This record gives sequence, C-alpha cells and structure tokens, in this order.
Amino acid sequence: MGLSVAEKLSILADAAKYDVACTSSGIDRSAKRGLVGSASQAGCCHSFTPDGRCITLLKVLMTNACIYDCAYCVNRCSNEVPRASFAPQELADLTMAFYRRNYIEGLFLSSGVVGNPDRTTELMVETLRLLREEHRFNGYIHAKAVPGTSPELVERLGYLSDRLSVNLELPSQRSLALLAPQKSKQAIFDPMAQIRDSIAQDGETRAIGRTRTTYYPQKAPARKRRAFSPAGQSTQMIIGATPETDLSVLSLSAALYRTMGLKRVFFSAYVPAVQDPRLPSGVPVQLNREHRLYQADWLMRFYKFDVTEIIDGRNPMLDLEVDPKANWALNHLECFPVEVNTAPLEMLLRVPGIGPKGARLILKARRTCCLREPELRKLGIAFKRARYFITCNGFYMGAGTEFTPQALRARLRAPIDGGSHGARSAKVSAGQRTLFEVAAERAGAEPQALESAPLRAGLPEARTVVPELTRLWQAPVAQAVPR
Amino acid sequence: MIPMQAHGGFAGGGGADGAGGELAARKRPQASLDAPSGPQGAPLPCVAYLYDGTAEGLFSAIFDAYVFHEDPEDFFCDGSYQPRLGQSSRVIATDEEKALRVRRGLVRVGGSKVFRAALHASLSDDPQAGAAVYRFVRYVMDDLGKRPSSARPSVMGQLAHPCVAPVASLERQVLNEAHRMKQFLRFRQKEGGLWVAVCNPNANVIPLVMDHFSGRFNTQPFAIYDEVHRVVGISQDGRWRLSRASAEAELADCAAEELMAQAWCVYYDSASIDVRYHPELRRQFMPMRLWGNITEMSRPRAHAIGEAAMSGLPNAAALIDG
Repeated sequence: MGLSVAEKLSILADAAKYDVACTSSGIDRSAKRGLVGSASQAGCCHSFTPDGRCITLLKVLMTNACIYDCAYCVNRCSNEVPRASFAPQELADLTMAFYRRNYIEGLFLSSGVVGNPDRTTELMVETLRLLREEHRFNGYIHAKAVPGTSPELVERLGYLSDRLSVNLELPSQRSLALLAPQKSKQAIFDPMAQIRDSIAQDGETRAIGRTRTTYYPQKAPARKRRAFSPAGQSTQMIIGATPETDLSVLSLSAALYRTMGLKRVFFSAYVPAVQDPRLPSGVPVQLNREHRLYQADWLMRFYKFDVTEIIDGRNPMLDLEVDPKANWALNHLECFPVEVNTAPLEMLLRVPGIGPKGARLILKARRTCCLREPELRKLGIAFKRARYFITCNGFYMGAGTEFTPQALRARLRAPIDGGSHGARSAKVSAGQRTLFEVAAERAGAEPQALESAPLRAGLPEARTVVPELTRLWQAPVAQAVPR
Repeated sequence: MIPMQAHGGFAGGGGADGAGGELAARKRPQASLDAPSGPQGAPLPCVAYLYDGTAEGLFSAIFDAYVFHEDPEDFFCDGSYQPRLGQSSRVIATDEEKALRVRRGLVRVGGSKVFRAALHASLSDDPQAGAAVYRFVRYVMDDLGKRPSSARPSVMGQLAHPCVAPVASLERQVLNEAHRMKQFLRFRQKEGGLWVAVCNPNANVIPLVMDHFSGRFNTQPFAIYDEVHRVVGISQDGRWRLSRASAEAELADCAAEELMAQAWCVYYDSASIDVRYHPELRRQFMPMRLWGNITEMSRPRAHAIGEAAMSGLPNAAALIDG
C-alpha cells in the first residue's frame, strides 16, 4: 500500500484520539548541549482541539491493525476501517520534524496489537531507540505497555520513555470479561506491578549512587543511564459503557493510587464509535459524569480527601447538581464556618471556593494583614462560593442566606454547561430587549411581539415589553407595568 | 536578515554573550549622578515622566524621580502620552547606570525576587504598568528600606497591599503571556537552515522565553520575531541575544516546510472528537488574538484537506501530497 505519511498520520491519529491521557508533566529535565529538547514538571500544551482538549504530545498508534476484538474500540479487528502502520524510522522522523517546529512537547506512542504483544512492543522500542539515540531526542515520551508483553521488553521500554501506562480499560473484571474477552485482569495488573517495582528499584539505586558514604572522592559512574520511567505511570478506564457506579470507579482508582503508586487515573466517557449489542446505544455521552469524577479525583490527590468522604454506599453516584466538595461541605455544616485568618490549611482546603493555590495564598497573606472580603477577592478566591462557609475576623460573610443545607444548596448549585454551548448562544431572558428590536424601533417599526420571536419559544410567559422608557416616568408605576 | 541595532539590558539577563556582558561592564563614576542634570528649579507638583518603553528607561525614570524630589503621577512611553489637565512632563533619557542603581537598591532591600517582580511588571503593555512599578519601588525603598532588615516583612507575600498587588498581578499576566508563547510559538524552517517564529504577544516577553527555546533547540539556529514590540531574539549554539528589528525580512520557506505544516493540520483535525465539540473552551485556552500566528489555526484550507482525507475521498492523497 502506498499511503503517504500524512494519510497514515490521519488514520493513526484518528484511531488514537479516544485515549484521553495527554500529559507531558511529571519530570523536570533541563536542556543539554547537543541534545534536542527538554521537559518541565508542569508540562506544556501546544494546541487545543475544537473540543477544548489539549494537544501536548503527538498521540498516534504504531499501527491500528489489531488482533483483538474489544467491543468498545474503533480498532477492533471486526471493524471496517482503513488500516495503516508506521515504520519506526518514519515515525521518529515525523516526531522530530514536529518537535523542532514547537508543535508538540513529545511523543505519545500507543499501538494496536499486531501479531502478538511482544512483536508490537519491539516495534515501539525500536521507534523510541531511534529517537533517543539517532536523533538525540531529550523531550518527553509517553509509551503504552501492551498487556501480555514479556517483562524484558517492558523493562527496555521503561528506560527509553518518561511515563508508562497500562490501560485498565473497564472498571471491573466482569465488564472486562464481557467487552474485552481477550484481555484479563491479571494481564493488565502484571505489567503495572512490574513498572511500579522497577521505578522504586531504579529510584533507590540512583539515590545510593548519589549518596556520599565515605570521605574518599566519589567516582562518577562510567556511563549515565536513563532513569526508568521517571514521570511514573498512569492508567485510564472507560466510563459509561458498563453499569459500574461512581462508588466502584472511585474506590478502584483510590486503591490504584494506594497500591500501584499511579500518578494519574484518567476517565474517558464512552463515545459510541462502533455498533455492538453488548454496548449501550442511544444514550448521551456522559460528559457531566466524567467531569464530576475528575473533580472527585482532584479532591483525592490535592485536597487530602479520602474516598470514603467523597462517596459512600448510600449514594453510589456523585451528585450531578453540586460538585463533590460542595456536597461534602453541605453534609458537614457542623465544621463551618471557619475563620480564614486562623484556620489551618486542611480546613481551608475543605471550603468550597478555596482551592489549593488560594489556601496557600491565604496562609501567606494573613501573616501581614487581616483578611476581609476585598483582600480575599484580590487573592483570587471564588468569594461568592466561599462566603457561606467563612468568617473574616469574626464576621460571618454569608449573611442573608439561611445556614441550612437546603438554602446553601440552592446557592451553590452549578449545572455543568459543557457541550451545551449551542443552546447557550440562543439564551435570552424574559423581557430582555435584543439589539434587533432596538434597531427596529429606531427605524420606526413596531416592536416585535414576544411570541413571534422564535428564540423565545418555550420560555415562561413573559410580561409585555414597555415600549417607551418615558412611560415609566409619566404614569404611576402600577399602570406602567401591567401585572 | 533583519536590520538591527544592538540592544541589551536587564531583559536579556540570561543571555550568554549579549546582555549579561553589558551588565557586568558597569564602571563609571557615580558622583555625577547625584546632582540633578535636568532643568533646574523647584520640583514640579504635577508631572508625567516619559521614557523610551524599555525596562532600563523605566528604571532610569524612577531613579530621576528621586533625583528631582518629585512624585510623578504617570509614567508613559514616549508615543502614547496624553497629558492630564495642567500636567507638565519630563522626557527621561535612558541611562543604564541609573537603572542598575535602582536594581541594586531593590535587591538590597527586598532580594532578587522583588527586583524580578518589578522587571517582569515593566515588560507589560498595560499603560498603568510604569506607574504601578514606580509606586512599588517607592513602597519598597521608602517604607521598607527605612526599617531594619530583621523587621521587614516579605514584600511579595503582601499580596493584598495596594502597592504590591498591582505589580504582582502584572507580573502574573506577563509570565502567563510568556507561557503562552512557549505553547503557541510556531517555527518555520527557512532556506539555508534558519528557523523563524513570528509572534504577537501582549507584553514584551521575548526576553523571558529565550532561555527556554535556546536550551531546547540548541542544535538549530533560530530567530523569534515579535511583530508588536519589534524585538527579535536570535539564538545559535545555545547562546542568544536580543535586537531591535524594524521590519521582518522575507525569507523563503524550505521545501519540506509546507508539507510538514499540512501534516500537522491533518493531525490537528483528526485529533478532535466531534461529539465533545466545545469551541468556547478552546478559545479560553488558546486566545483568538494569537491564532494568526498559529499554524493550524491560520490555515482555513487545512480543515478541508483533513475532512477529505478522513472521508476517504479518492483525491485526498493528491491534495495532501501536492
């Protein structure tokens, strides 16, 4: 087949886009003379797709010709899609060409399983070797370890890349057996545990090498070796293709953070890409659920929340109306209000509207002055949310609202409007005059009746528009504004 | 390529050969600076200082405010001055020696972090930036400088202080813009092997990103041209310097350039998931004012090619290759 590089790129990028993990973070590596590239702890996004997700790495598959038949996957072998594969040299050259133009921060290499897992990983290892050795590439590389690969190859992959990941795919063993019968829980957890152990072992070895145990001058190691997956490992699972609750998803991810030492667990709302009787059909993509799951994930990683505080068996799904942090606060009103000028960090982190950054800024700023509303606003705290849960120098900031879960819930309710922008642009509140109406009035035409405006169909009964503002002044109010 | 004149200073502090060297060579008698050199007489009560728009110029002006015993209300770049009612003005000549003395004072009282905050804020395009930096320097030198060092609070920790807050927020804006340049700068390879990137930042941030790029791309010679502030950063072998540029010279792209740009647009188009379409979110992360210089956003044809390739039209290959 004589596919051009651009055509292959189109096919293989399209096939890889459902992999949600796209981060270039976790490792600080300064530039070195003669090497191309560097990496920064926070990562760097180089572009954003029309759906608002970032492009930081060149995320492609080595090949989309896969021997597996997982029900949810576009690349399943029974699916009729054009197939393509990159030669290692081709992909390495393309990555360098993109990197030198500052299009990307590095490479995210995944693959369909061609032949067997070992053969696939060998191709990936060869690509990474070309990048690191021939092109002297010092940037970020994220590689997928294919379940079922032999440990020696995972070892080689780990020393060439910055982050490894093994996809969990689905949140339970039963769903895995149903939708991806050729994959097993053991085949996924084996490389994950191996990567965890290798990272720990490599870290210790390097730490010993750095420690000075005697007064004798230290001998530098003969050859510096790359660290094993220095930015750690991550995983991802699909949400909404199977009936697991948020409780089981979050408990699983908490267990993974605890036992596997993962840096991130990614959630991917199931997007119907193929037809299969085992999959749900005709249901909307659960973007809002994904959003709440990520919020809960953040609470676990940055806000010192335990998974049992976020969710429990009585309500196994996260509240879609308020975010998990506000939900916790509403259920624990006995802990509030807290005094911002004295509260410890752990308590500030629990206040809705104050994030990790804001909490630390408060700690810093309150050493020199007393924090009240203007100061908090200057620090960038979301004051309109935080006010109901704080006192400033002894004064409660949320006066005017009853301090009960129901009243506060009404204040904190924040529906997620991601993806509903089409409706958003057409939103007009009742009684609000549009520019078109004003222009028409100026031109001497009659103001349009509300009922005739198609935008307003479905809105609650609106009062008639007062055509002239002067009438408000000339007539008594009761007549001017009909009831 | 680009007509230029030497321009060095603080902003290029990290430069290996350019600005750093000029900073080091600062041997000049200081006595002459202490006597007012401008028009003599009583201090003007209502005055604006006009400087040349550089960080050195602003710091010289701040120094002169002390020399003339004046308290200027405004600091403006030469071209953008609009006098207030009854306001007089002074044109301040840029003097690196004066600027360095301001730096020394700030570092002595508040440490290098304080100086860096003032420097970063002075790179902003905000018309109030000059006055904000001046108020900040006044506060640090007059208020904190008079206290014993053990009794000085950390300056940048006072985020709610009326003199510190504007500078802190200006600094954050400028550093954010510098980060946007690290994200969205796009290099094109020219005939002869030079790589060129053109950008339109809303602050003079080229000096802040040169370290990053010249380290990362130390094996390729490149130039970054800021078409708004007319500043160009040039890097070769990991060493860089800044210059003023009057116009961008036209250099032809190399042969592979167009192909790579198209390949990138194809990638960009295929990476999007249609059911999640959310352009507001994209605009929030990637401001529209920068789109003109971002390869994948400034090429309307690219989308058509991507769609053709994805829908498997027979002529897609021809479109991509040719």
